[in-house]
Amino acid sequence: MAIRSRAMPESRSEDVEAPLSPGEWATVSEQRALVYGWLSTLYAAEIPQARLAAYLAGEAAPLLEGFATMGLGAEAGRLQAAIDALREVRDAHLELAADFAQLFLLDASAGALPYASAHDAGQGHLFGPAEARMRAFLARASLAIRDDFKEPADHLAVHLALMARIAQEQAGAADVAEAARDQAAFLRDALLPWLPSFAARSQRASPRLDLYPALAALLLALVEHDAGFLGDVAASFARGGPSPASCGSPSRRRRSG
Amino acid sequence: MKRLLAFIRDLFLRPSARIGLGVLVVGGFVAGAVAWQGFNTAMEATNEEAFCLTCHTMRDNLLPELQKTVHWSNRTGVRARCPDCHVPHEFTDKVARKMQASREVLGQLVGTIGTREKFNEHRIVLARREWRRLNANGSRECRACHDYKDMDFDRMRPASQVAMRAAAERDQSCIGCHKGIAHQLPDLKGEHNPAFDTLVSAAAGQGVEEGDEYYAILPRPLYRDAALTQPVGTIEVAARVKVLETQGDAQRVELELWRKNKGYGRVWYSHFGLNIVSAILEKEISRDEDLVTVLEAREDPLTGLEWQQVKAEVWLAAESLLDSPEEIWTIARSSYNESCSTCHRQPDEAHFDANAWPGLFAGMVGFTSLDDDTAKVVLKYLQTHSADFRGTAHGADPTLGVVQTARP
Amino acid sequence: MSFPRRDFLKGMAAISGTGLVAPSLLTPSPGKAQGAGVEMTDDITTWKITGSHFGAIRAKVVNDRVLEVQPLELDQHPTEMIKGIIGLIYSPSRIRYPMVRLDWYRNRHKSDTTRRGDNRFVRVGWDEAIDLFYAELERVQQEHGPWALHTAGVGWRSVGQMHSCGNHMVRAIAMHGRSVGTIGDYSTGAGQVILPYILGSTEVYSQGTSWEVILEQSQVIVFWANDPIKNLQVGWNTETHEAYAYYAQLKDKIARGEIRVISVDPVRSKTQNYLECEHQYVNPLTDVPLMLAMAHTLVTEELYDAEFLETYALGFDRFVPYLEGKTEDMVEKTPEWAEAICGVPAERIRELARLMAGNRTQLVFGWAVQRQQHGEQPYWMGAVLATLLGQIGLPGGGISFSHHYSSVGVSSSGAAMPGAFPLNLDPGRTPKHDNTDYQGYSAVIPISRAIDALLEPGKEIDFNGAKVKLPPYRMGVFIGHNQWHRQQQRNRMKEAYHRLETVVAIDYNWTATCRFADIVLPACTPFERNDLDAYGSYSNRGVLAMHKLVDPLFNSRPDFAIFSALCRRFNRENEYTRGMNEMQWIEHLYNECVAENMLKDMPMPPFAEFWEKGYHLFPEGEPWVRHASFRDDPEVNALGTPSGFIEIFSRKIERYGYADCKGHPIWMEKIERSHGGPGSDRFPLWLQSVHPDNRLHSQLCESEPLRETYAIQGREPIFMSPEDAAARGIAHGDIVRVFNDRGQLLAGAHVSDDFPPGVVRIQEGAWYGPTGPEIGALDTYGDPNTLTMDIGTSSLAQAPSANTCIVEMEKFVGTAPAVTAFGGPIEVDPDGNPIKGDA
Repeated sequence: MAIRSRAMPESRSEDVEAPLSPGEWATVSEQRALVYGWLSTLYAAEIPQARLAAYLAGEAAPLLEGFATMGLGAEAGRLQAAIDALREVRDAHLELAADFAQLFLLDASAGALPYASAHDAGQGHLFGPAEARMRAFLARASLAIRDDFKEPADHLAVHLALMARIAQEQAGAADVAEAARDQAAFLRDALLPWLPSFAARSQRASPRLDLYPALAALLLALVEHDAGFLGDVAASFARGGPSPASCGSPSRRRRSG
Repeated sequence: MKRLLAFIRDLFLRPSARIGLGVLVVGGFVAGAVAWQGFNTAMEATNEEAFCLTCHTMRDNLLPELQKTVHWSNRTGVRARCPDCHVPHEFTDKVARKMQASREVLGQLVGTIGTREKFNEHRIVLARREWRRLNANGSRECRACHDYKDMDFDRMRPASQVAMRAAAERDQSCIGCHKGIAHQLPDLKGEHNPAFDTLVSAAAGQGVEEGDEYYAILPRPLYRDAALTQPVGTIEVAARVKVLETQGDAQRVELELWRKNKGYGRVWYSHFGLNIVSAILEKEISRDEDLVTVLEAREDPLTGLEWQQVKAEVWLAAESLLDSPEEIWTIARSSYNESCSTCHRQPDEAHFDANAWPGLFAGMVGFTSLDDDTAKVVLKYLQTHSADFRGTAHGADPTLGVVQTARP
Repeated sequence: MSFPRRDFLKGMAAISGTGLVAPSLLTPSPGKAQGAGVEMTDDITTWKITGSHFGAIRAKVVNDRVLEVQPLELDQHPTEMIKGIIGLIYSPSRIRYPMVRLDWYRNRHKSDTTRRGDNRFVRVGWDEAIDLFYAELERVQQEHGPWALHTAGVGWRSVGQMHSCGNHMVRAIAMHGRSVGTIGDYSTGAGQVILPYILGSTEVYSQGTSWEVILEQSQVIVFWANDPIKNLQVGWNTETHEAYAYYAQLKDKIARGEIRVISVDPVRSKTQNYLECEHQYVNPLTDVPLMLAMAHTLVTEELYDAEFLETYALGFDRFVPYLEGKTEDMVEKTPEWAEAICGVPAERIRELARLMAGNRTQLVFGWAVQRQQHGEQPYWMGAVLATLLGQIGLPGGGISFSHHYSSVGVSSSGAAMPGAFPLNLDPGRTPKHDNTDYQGYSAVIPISRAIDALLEPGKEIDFNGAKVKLPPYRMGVFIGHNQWHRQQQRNRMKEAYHRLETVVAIDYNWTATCRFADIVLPACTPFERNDLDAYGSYSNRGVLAMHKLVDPLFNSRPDFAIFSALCRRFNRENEYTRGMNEMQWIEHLYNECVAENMLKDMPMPPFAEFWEKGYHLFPEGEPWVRHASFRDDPEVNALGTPSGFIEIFSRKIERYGYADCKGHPIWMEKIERSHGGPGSDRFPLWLQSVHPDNRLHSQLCESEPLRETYAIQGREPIFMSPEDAAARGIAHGDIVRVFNDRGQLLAGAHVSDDFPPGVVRIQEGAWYGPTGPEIGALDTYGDPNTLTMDIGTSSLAQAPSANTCIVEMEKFVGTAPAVTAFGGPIEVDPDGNPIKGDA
C-alpha cells in the first residue's frame, strides 16, 4: 500500500482561526499526550495477551473513531480491520509478536528498523548522530530512559514518549504559541525526516498480519496532522486574532488544497 | 699441675667454710633461676619479631614481601610473625634452630647478604634451607595453626578442594605446594618444574634392590665410572633400568633398549619400532663395542629401517629412581590437561599412536609455556599411554579423543 | 491539504483515559550525567586501548559512544580493516534480544524444520531463553544420549583470552553432558593431517625461519599459491603486523636485483603486485604435475642432493619409479607431460628446477592450495621437492607452510603468553549426565563432514587410518563461528538441516547461522567487555589489555554470563566460574603469566600498572631457522614421522590402502576441473574462494561502511578476466548470476587484468542471503559456498575441498532482488529502485 506523505500546510491568513483558549489548549494537550503515549506503547514492546484481549473487546474503538473524525478515516479504518481480523488467528499474540520481531527486532533486511539512525542515508550504522542528538535532548530535559528499555535514544518509542511528556507538561503553558512552536519543531526536526521512510518500510516488509503496517500508516498521518495542528495554533497567535480569552468561536471550514 | 688439680678438686668438693649453706643453696637457686630466666628472656627476645627485624636485610627485603601476603593482612586480623613459621615451637627444636641461626647472624655481619642484589642472589640458598627444614618436619610450623583435620573443604574454591582433599589424605607437607606463600619466590631460572620436587624427595626415599627394575625420575647424566667423572650420555625421564649394584652415591645400571641402525645409532628407544626415547649416548660412545652390546637386529616393516636391540652398563647418581612411573605420570597428566586445553580440547592420549605423538606435539608445544623438562615428561607420558599401549584406538572415554580445535 | 482544527479538537475529545497506554519509557533524572567515563580529547594517548584480529587499536569513546578508532601507535603497518570496527559494534545487523523461532517456540523439537531461515522469530527474556536451551540439553541427553548433541568446532571467535567463547561453551556443556566434537579445521584440514607423516609435524601452525635469515641467505624465494600481503592483515591473537616490515625490505631487494622472487599462482596476487616480483602462471589445481616434472628434472639431471637423502630421508627409491613411469599410471612425469596439464612450458619447468637447485631457495606455501580434492598431494609433493633440493634446515632454505599467517617469521621473544578461561572440567569433576555410551557412533568427526553426518546417518568413513561412524546428531550448538559461511555447498546444508531438531546459535550479528537457528542468543562484541590478549601470536611481542569501550548494547551479554546462567540451571554455576568475576579472572590469568615469565627472567609489572598502561612488551627474540636442529642432529632431534626421518614414501599411509591417498605423492585428476579438465565443457570457469582482502573470513562483512569500499551494486565482487567478461557481454560494475548444478548467486562484476581467462574469484566470508528457505534459492549477496562441493579431500584427511569448483556466469538481466544477507539504509525496492525518504 502506498503511503502518501502529506506536505506541511502553509498557513494562509484568511484561513487562520482564533487562537486557542488556555482551557482548550490544556484539554487537547492532555488528549494528545494520551495519543502519543498510546503510540509509544505499541512501538516499545509486543502487545501482551491481556492487552490484546482489551483490543479485541473494542477498547481502542473510541480512539479510532476519534481519528476518523479528524479526517483519518482510512487509516483508522484499516487499523480497526486489522484488529478485527485477529479474532480468526490462532495464537494471535504470538503471531503479532513474530510480526513485531520481524519488523523491529531483526536486521534491516527483514523489516523496518525503528531508529532515526537507520534511516539516515548519510551513514550506515545505528547509534549515529541522530541518537546523540536525542540523548542530548533528553539530558537537557532532565529525562532518562528506563533501565529496562534497552534501546538507544533514537528509538521511535522514545520519540513518542517524549512527545507525550512534552504535551502533558506544556498543557498549562502560559505562552501557548511558543509551546506549539516548540512541539512542532520537535516533530519537524526529530521525527518527520525519517518517519515516512519507516512507514514505507513497514508496508514493504509484508508481515503476516496487517496490524503494524496499518499502525505505521496511521502513525505517519497522526504525526503529520499534529504538526499541522500545532503550526496552525502557533500561526493563530501570530496573526493577533481574537483574544485568547474568547473560546468557542466558530471556525471556518477550510477546503482541501 | 698436681696443685692445680688439687685446687680444683677442693673448690668443688671441699665444703664452703665462709659462705653459709643456705646462702649457697638459695643463692645458687636464685642465680640458676636468674640465669634460666635470662636465658629464657634472651631466648624469647631473640624469638621476637622485633629482634629479627633489627637486621636491615630482614626489614628491607622480607618484611615488605610478607606484608603483601595473607599471612600479614587479612579479613580476620590473625597474622603470623617471623617466629611463628621460622622458629620451631617445641623447646629442643627451638634451641637447635637457634644454633643454626647463629650462622645467619654471622652472614649478616659478614655482609653475605648486605645488599638487595646480594640478597636476591643468595635467596635460593636461604629458601632451600627452609624448604628442606619444613619438608623434613612435615611443615610442622604451618600445622601449629593450619590443621587438615579442622579444614572445611566445602568452603574452599572448587579447584582448591581437589588439591586439598588429596593433600589431606596423604598428610602432605604444606611447603610441598605452598612455596612462596609468605615471601617472594627465589629466581628459579633454569630450575625445573617445582612439581618435580616431590619426585626428587620420593626418589631420595626409594629403597633400591639389586636385580630389580626402576624408572628414572628426570633426565640424568650417565657415566662410565663409579666416580661419576666420565660422562657417556643421558637417561631420559621414566626410562626403565635394572639396578646391578650400588656403590656409595652411585648405582650401576643395565640398559636394554632398541636403536635404529642409521648414523651413530646413539638414540636408544624403549620398544622396538616405537620412537620413545629412553637414553641418548655420546656419538663415539655409541659405537664403542666395549660398552655397547648388540643382541639382535630386525627390520621394522612400517619404515624399512633396521633396528638393533642393544645393551649397556653405565653408572648413574643415586636417588634418581623410583620403582614405578605412576607419580611421574600424575604430574605429566595434570600438565598436559592444563597446558593443552587453552585453545582446544586436548586429545585423548590413545587417540594417536606413539610415533604420531612427537610430530603433533612438536607442532603445538610452542603455544604452551611448558619448560623443556616438563615438555619431555608430557611427551613421554603421551607416548606411553598412546594407542600402542591401550589396545583400542580410543581410550575408555571416547569423548576425550575430541580435538575441539579453536584454530581456524 | 486541510487540517480543520475543529475536527482535530472534536476527534481528540473522544479520547479519554484508556488502559491501552503503558507507563512512560521516560523517567525524570535531575542532573544525571550524560554517560560516565573519562572525557576523551583529541590527544590519542587518552583513548582506550583494546585489541582485535585486525590489530591493536585506540578508541575514542565520548559519552558512552565509540566515535573513532585508530591503530595503536605500536603498530607500524596497520590495516584498513579497523575502519570497520565502529560499523561492527553499531551494525544494523546486531542481535539485540534472545530470539526463538516461532514455530519452534510452539512445537519445540517437532517444529517444521523446512521453514528455518524464514525470519519468523519471537523475542523472549533471558531467563526463558536459557530455560529453553537447558530443557533441550536435558531432553537430548535423556532421550537420546551424547551422540545426539553436536558442539560444533569453534572457529576464529573474537580475540581475548578470558572471554574466549568456545572455551566457555565447551566447559559449560561438558559439565552438563558429553557431546560429539570435531577434529581438524577448515583452514588446513588436509595439510595438518598429511604433514606429520612426511615432515613430522603439522607445520601449518608452526613458527618459521626468521625473516632476517631469509632476507640475508635466500637467493630465491618461491611463493607457491600464497598471498601473504593479503593474509597478514589478520592474526589469531591481536595482530602486530610486524611481518610487513620484512616484506618492505624484500621489495627493495627485488628492486635492486639482489634476490629472485617468484609467485606461482594462476592469479597475479596482491603480494605479487606489491613486491613487483616474477609471476609464474599455472593452470588451476595442477600444481602437482608441475612439481612432479620439476622432480623429474632434478633426478634426471642429477641435481638432487643425494647425500641429504641418504642421511635425512627415507623412501626415495620407492618414489623414483613413479617419476620414471614404471608404476601407477605408467606415464613418465616429464616436463612435456606436465606442460599439457599445467600450462607451464616444459623448458620453463626445467629452468625453474635448475634455478632452485643451483641457489639457496626458500619455498613458501599458502593454505588455499590444500583446500581442494586430494589437497594432501600438493603439500606432500612440495615437501618432496624441498627434500630433493636438500636445503631443509639451512638458513633461508627448505619449505614453509605458514609464513602468511599471524606474522610467522618474526622471531619469538620467548615469553609466555597468558592462558585462557579453562575449557575442561575441573579435576575430579564429572558431567551431570555422565553417559559415555555413543551407541557405536564416533564421538569425534572430521569437522567438515558435519553435513554428511546428517544426510547419511551412521555412515562409516575412513579417516587418517581409522574408521569414523558418523552420528546423526539431533541438536547443534554453534558459537564463535559462522557455520553457514565456512561449510561448503549451501543447498546441501539446507537439506541436511531439516533433520536437526534444535539449533542454538550464539553471536553478536545476524549471520546466516543465526537465521537458520531456533534459539538465538545475543552475545556482546569483544568491545563491550574487558579482557586481555597475547600481542603477536608467534612473536609473543607482549601482553595487551583489552579495555571495555562501551557496555553491552541492547540486551546482549558476555558469553561468560550466558553460560553462567546455563550452569545455574543445574546448580554448578560456582564450579563453572570458580567463584571469580570477569576482572578477577583477567587478573588471575595475568598473574599466572607473570609467574611463568618470572621463571624465564622476564619481569612484568603488577596488574594494576599493566591495566592502566594498556600493554607490556617483551624484548625481541633471536633469529631462528626451521628444521635446523633436525639437520644438525637427525637422531637426537628426530622428526615426528614414524621413522624419525623425512618420509618421501610413507609405508604407514600405504598400509591404509586408500585409493585417493597412496604411499607417495600422485597426480590424480579432479572430479571437476577447468582448463580442459572434467566438466569444463559445461562450466569452463574455475571459482577460487580465497580468504578475503577486506575481512577476516565472514567477520566485518556486516560493517556497512567497510562493505561500501568493495561491494559492487551492494553485492560481493566477483573478480574476472577482461576476456571472460567481454565474451559474456559483462562490463565492470554489472550484476552477474554465477551458477552450476549445485546453486546460484548474484555478485558484482569486478573486471581485472590480474585474472587470467578461465579463473574467477569470489572471496569467502561473503554473507549468505538467499531469497528464501527453499533449496536452490538464489543467493542475493554472493556467498561462494553456494556453489562449492561438499566432499572430503580424501580418505586420509576428509578435509574441505572448496577450491575444486567450476562455474559459469552470465550478466543478470532484469531487476535484481534486494540483498537479504543483512540490512542497511541503502536498499533496492522490488522495482529495483533505491529506497529514499518517501516511497
